[in-house]
Amino acid sequence: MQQPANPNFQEDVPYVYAMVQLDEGPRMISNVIDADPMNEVSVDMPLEVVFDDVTDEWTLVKWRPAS
Amino acid sequence: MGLRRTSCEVRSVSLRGKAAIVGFYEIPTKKEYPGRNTFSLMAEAARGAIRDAGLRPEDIDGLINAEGLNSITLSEVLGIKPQYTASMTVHGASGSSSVATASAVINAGMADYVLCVFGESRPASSSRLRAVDAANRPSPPSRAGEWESPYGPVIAANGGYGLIKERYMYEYGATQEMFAKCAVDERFNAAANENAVWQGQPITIEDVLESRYTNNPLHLLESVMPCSGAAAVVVTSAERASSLPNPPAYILGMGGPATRHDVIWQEEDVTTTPVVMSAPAALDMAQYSAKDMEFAEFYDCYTILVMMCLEDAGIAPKGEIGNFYLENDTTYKGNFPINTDGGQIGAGQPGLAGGFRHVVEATRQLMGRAGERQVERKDLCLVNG
Repeated sequence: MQQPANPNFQEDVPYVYAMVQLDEGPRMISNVIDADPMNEVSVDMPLEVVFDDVTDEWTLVKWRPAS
Repeated sequence: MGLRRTSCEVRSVSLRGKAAIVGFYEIPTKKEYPGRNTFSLMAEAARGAIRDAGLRPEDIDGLINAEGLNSITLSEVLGIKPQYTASMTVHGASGSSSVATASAVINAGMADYVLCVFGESRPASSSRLRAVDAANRPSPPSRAGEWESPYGPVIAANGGYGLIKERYMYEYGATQEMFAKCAVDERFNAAANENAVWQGQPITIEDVLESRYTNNPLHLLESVMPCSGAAAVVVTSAERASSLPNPPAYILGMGGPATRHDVIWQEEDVTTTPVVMSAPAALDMAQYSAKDMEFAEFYDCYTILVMMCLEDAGIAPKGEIGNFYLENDTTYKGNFPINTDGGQIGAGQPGLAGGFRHVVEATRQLMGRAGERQVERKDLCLVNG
């Protein structure tokens, strides 16, 4: 993503806005982190979940390349 | 108590050729119409279409417009007293759906002359801010608010279509050049369209590929620009059409669904669209095949969408639409013209009038009134909203 709608995300550009298929069945929108967005992220790459505690109250479900 | 058919051999009453579009009017699509609101633009288009059809406002007894705009108030603005009104709620497909609904309404005897009108007036200077504001506005608990925006609110549909284009390129080996060719052909058509926001401004493949990413792999120049504008058509029965001034544009077939999901990325197979269902239904009613179609006017918010829909309609085998664009001339001069007015990528997107404009341009071409952009083979057009 190069042109987010919210200026608060501008500092993360480019970031990965991805559609992730869970092994359990559902599909979700999320971010892939710990990888270079332009070179280390590819379609169908295996991922593992990362729970990002963005605030004291909120945790976001994100993904990184599976180790 | 209920009745249930044990078999489905009679799916629907065929409306093949029973209704026709008999008049149209389009105001130029521009970045903005300062000092004029949406009602004003729609009223101008509506009055123009009624006049073009050889009718008077008092002849109009049906009105179909878009979600979000009160069709009752619009009737008062236009000075008409319809027996039937409806507002479409299928987003971009609202325009084409309105004409299909009009045909059904007319054949049900609920109205004789149905006006379908769409339009939007938005201030250009705040267009980006409005898109940003729409993405960021606090809202009641929603799918987007909980499951999408926390990972980066997106402008318009840049998020979903970026994902779908990426997936399509992965599954079918499509190249960026193929998508760029689609945009280039449409901008060529728009360059010859005096109503287009990009009139006189064709582009090259390099221009598209060098334009900045909005959401990699989506480039700016393969996306629509939100604009202002309006358009309208009048639909009536085939019998009444024969006594009106314009050559009728008969509606031979129609089919849905428009969509099953509010976001396209929830489709089970994201690189296949509902057109795999709606196109065969429409062609079946029309008793033609995709190969019989002479030109196409297809919804094009982004190149990836128009291209997937075309192949789902049978214009090319699945996964081959990219090669189709590279190997064919899809301009109004070409062997298979697509979006002959430039589509929305070329002419701009005036809200839901953008999708409706495909219907208007199809009508213009079928009636032989497209001037320099007139396609040679003009008898059968496939339209997708």
